Amino acid sequence: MTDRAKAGISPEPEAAALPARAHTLRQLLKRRTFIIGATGLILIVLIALFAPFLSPHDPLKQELANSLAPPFWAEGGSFDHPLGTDTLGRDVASRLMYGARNSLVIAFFAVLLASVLGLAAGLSAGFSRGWWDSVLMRFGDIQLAFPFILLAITILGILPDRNAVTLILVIGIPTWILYARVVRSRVLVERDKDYVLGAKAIGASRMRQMGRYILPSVWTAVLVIAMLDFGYVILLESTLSFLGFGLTPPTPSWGSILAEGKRNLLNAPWLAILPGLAIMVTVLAINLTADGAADVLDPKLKISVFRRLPQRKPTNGSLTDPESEDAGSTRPEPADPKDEVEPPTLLKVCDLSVEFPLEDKVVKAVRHVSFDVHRGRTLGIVGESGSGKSVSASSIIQLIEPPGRVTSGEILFEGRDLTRISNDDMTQLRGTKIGMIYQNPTSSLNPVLSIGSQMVETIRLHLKGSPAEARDIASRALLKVGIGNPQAILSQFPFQLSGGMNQRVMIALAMHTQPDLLIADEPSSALDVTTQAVVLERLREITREHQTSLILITHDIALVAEFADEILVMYAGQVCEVGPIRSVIDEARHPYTRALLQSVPRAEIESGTRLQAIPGELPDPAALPPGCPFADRCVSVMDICRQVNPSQVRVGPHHDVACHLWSSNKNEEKV
Amino acid sequence: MLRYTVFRTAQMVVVVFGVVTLVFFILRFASGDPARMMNPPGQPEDIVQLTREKIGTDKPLMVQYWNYVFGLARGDLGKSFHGGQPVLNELLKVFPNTAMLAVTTILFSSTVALILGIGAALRANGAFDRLVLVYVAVALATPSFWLGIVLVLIFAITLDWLPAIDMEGPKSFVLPVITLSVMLTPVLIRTIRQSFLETLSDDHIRAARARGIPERRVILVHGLKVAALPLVTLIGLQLGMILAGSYVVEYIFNWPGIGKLTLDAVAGRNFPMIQGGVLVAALAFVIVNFIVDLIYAALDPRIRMSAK
Amino acid sequence: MNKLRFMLAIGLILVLAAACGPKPTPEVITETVIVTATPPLEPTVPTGPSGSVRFLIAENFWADWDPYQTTAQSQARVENQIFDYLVDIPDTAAPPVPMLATEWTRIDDRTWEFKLRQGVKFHDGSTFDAEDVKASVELASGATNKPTVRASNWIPTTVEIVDPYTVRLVSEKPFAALMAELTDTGICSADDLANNAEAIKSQPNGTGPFRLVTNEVDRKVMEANLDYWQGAPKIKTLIWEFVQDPDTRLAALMAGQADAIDRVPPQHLRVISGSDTLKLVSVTGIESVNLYVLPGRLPIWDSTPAFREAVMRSIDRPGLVGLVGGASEVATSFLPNRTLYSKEGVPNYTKDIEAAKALLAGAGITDGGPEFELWVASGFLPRAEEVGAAIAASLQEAGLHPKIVTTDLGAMIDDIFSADGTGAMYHISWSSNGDPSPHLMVYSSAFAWYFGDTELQRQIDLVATTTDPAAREIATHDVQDYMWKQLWHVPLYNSDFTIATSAKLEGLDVRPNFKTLFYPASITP
Repeated sequence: MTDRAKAGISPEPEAAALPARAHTLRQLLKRRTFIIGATGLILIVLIALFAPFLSPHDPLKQELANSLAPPFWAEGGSFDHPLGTDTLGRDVASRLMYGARNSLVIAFFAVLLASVLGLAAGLSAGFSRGWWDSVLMRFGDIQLAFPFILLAITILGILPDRNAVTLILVIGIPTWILYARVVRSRVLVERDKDYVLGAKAIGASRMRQMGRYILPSVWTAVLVIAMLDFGYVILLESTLSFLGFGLTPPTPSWGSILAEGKRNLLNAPWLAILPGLAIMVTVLAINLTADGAADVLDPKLKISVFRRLPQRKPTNGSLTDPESEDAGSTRPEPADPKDEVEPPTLLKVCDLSVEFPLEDKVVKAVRHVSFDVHRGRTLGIVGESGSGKSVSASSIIQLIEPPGRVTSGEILFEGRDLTRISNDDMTQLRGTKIGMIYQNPTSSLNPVLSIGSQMVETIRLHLKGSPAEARDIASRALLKVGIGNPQAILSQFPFQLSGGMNQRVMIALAMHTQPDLLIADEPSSALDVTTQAVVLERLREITREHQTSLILITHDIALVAEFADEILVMYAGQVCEVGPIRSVIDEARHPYTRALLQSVPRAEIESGTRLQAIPGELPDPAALPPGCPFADRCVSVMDICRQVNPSQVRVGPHHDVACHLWSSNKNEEKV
Repeated sequence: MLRYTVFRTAQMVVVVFGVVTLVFFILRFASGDPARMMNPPGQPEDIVQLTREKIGTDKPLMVQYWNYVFGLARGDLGKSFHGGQPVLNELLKVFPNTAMLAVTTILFSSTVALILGIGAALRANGAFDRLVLVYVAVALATPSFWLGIVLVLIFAITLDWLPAIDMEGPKSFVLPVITLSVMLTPVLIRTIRQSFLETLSDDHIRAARARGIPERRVILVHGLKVAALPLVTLIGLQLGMILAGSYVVEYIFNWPGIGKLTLDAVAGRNFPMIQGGVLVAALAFVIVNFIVDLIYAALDPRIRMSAK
Repeated sequence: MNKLRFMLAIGLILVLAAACGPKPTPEVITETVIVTATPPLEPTVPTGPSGSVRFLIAENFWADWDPYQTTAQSQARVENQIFDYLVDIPDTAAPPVPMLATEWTRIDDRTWEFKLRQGVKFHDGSTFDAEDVKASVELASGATNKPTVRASNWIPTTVEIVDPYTVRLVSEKPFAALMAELTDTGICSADDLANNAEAIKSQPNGTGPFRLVTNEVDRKVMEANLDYWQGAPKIKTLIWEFVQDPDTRLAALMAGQADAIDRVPPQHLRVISGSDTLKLVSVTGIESVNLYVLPGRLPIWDSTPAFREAVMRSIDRPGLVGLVGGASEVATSFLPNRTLYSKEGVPNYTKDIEAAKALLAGAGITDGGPEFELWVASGFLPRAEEVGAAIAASLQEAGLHPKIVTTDLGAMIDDIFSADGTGAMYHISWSSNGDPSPHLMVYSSAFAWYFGDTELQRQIDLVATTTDPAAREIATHDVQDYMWKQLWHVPLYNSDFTIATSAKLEGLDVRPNFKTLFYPASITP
């Protein structure tokens, strides 16, 4: 508490979650794009609404003697008609304001009409897939091939009274197909996804599937198009006026002023530019608003996917950052006399911290984590989702998802600090000295390239050689991971192979350069149990063979127990316990480690013993409590636990734990 | 595959036939009697009737329709109301001009959209992205019939760098293509940006980076290959938009293409010519879309391999 | 930053662009103006026709070349280059001049004898003689059993061949407009009419200065007829092309891609007159732009003369002329001011809202009468939308209830002739060749604008059949007085007819009846 107060930071504990809508609104209001866009839009709408009060003149009043007067800033202009007059001497500013009403209303309802029609059509087409799909799409084809002007003459010929409603119809109808096509292709993609199939399996009706499951992922596409459509629709109205089919004069609309402007382009250019400007500003405002909203409502779009991570500025050399939040930062352990027989250290992670600065908060994913990886050994990192294990691993190969960045510590590999080397140097290391494989093997491979071409690409990149040579190497690598018919596999595509196969391909890809270190992030979690065993076996064999160190990241402590030499238990971005596997498993010290062990079904335990789940949840990484992060869920919690974050203490040979229970233990050796 | 082709071909025929029939009847129900228009206003009925007999609109509607359909089957698209020229000849003469304009425009706008869209996606929410957003808004707000004339004013008349009208030599393509591209690029850019953003957050991109593949290759080969698939269908959409927009652009630049022919015919209610123009547009549209779908299937092995 | 500033920046740039546009000055109404640049120094005159002239026209080519089957103006204007006429009337106030006919005598009030020119050849090489005149005039005038559209302007006339170069035209009734009609009736080859009826629909064969080489839907290409009886034209290739958009036509002219453009709208006039590589030729057209009313569509119009006059008196016609610009003039009669025997109507009906209101009140119309539709076709007459809006505003000032309907020409035509058309008043025009009868024709019982006024019909017939000039003048004046009093329709103005050409084009003959003659014009390279 005290140190934090010294640092002047006091994160508040997370309050009870606000009701969802209020939360969203708050989010929206924090985004600059949304605010600027929405303000602009509101302004425009207000001007349109209050046109009768704001406009300097009657928009219909003609003054033939004052035809085509220029705006006030040009020669011959006056403030009486600030934006000039048109051919009949009518005030342009007033006509623009009144025109806003007509144009906005028509455009809005036309877009609404088109989007509703298009959404319905796209949903039903994508979903039904059969003849109805064909009919709809062909009907759309027909319409697209049909010249707009013909549609205009027809509808307007049948309904000669050209008021707003007719125009909404004429303008709204042509664009439905735009929405329908995009929605349809989204539906086609989404409907085969697991969550929808799951819904279907539990008996959700078609309507429900469509409405509840697919619609939410599809509506953002509609939004994007609606934004674009709005401006397009105003222009359609203008083209209609240009062709002689616009709103019956003298009703002003931006479109009709624009059309008139085109006719007078040489002698009165402002007549065309001003409504064009108005349209542009409106479209921009809508775009900004929708952009800001879409970012909040569909965060996937928000992430700036590729940004060169800024090089870390060197700290003052001290490993204890005075601004660090926690009093007890972990330190690298000094060499233990018993280390002499230990294999040399390949990778040394010291005091690593990674945070994700978002728009409104900072997520601290990894906090002062240190561990070593020894040559030829397997380190298992265990923790729940959100414990920071994957981020730690990604940090090693410097592929943290933006906007994440390393804020403290160093990662020493072969004498170099990986957090400080250049991007090019890091790229060279990846895949050659350090490899990484991920959880979902099938989606880790490019779906449109064959296995062979992807393997050849990587092999040629690292080992050079001709395509034929690379193919050869690829075949041999596949054999090594237990794939019996490599030639056949090479010509297949990822979606044709099982998860286990693909994961073995990934392993082959990662191992073909015989890297010093392989990081496997949940390599088997996506596979079924039997395949899991096979894949992990292969992994073990191949890493043993090449003396490759392996970092095995998983949530499954039983897996680690079987495959790892050393184990690191993480919770909420911190190290809880670290040490040799037998030491930690058999003599788990940290309450979290124990709880994990108890929650695993083991053959030795009698049936009838209940599995222990760990009650509670991870704390919010953006608003971490003072003290031990596990305090709320710990069965042995003490008062001090809530106030002071425990630092690591040695409790056995190479076995450290960060827990107050052991700080006062006689057996400890305080560091 | 064969089954698919046959099926789609049948669909195409249905579509084109549908368009032609629709246009045929719409023209005759919409306003504007061609015979009347070909005569000075107010001309007595018996005189106008002479014109009707000449152009064939005196016959009952269904008779006209069957004659037209049988003519179509024989490859006879009828004769222009206004001068008796065979419609098919006129269409064949001008079609290549529109085709060239369309192809050039698609190439140009696709390139521009790819560059701007990918650039915006790579630096999402950065300065370039904002610039692109502003361009999209400006482009959307600019009517083609206005932009064309402004470009002509600047480049053809004031600066005298480019021709104002006609299709004569590569220089004459510049302004019409730009005008059309301004119309097309907003949708393309936004779609490409979206698609790229989504692709770049895919797992296989991350895995490719982890294998040490350099960033440029990751984007241009792996990213593009997947993100490009929807783009292929966009070409089909672009063609539709060009067909719609070429009327105006050909009108402004006096481009001797299908669009101009059709628009002129519409003004004069020259039914056979209008029908012919729409027929060609519909045919071109469905055929191109069909080819695009085939290409898409060829490019995406997931579709190619899965049994239909 | 950034988005806001960007928007402002772009906005500022556009605004600056707008501000730096050409400075407008009030529109100048010009009378018949022919502005010529200083003629360039004449290099050695090339022998034979040279150069090509590209003329962009404003109206569709409406027809094929089937003789006398159309009266469409755009067709006639091209025909003028390919065919010849027996006589020509360059100036309505002056007597006709010889063309294919060299002299003529009036035999009686139904018969004229013409002496024909010798040595004239058709484009196909055959010789022109009396047979051709007979075949042509009889077909055109409706004296054969093949009906023609042209016949509606004629009284059926048979032709007697006196000798190969003398003919007598005998009309069924006295035909006062004969000479005028002859100026519009191109002479075809008798052989063609008898034997090549199908071919000449697409390959016209005339005696005129140019022959048709290419007959596309929107483009006609003509070549000089080297054997033309007046001497070969100075222009080698003449191209007429339909380009709908006036801005496109102007851009083409200014970029040097066209040599002449048709129907220059008022907003372009100043730009062209300000350029020294271009020139304008403006005349006041023989075209009445009126508000034509359809009988039966607005009962109060049919029944109440005061209502009609009130409408007439509400409109500011000089204001409309200012809108339309160029050489347009306020219509002072139902006959355009340059028609033969045109007479200024009295009173001249200037805008007087109070008088209009008084008339309405006097007729017992207290609420301005019923709402009626006033239709305007955009893209047809210049500034049509603005004119319609201006008229509507004026009418509203007087308390009337017009409702403007703007549409395209086709839709308007349709509404006029459709049984459930809703329009009452139409902003539309009627042009003629300068003789009163073709112009009065539109108000007669054969046309839709006829209110059943039999007295009017009688007077129109009289004008058509009175061949004595003095008597005809009186009859024409009478009918104009009558129409001015009846006010079945509302005359607005006579159109401006302006052609713009490159300064290199000399000698273009632009006439009030819209004939645009490229012989003997020349173009310097």
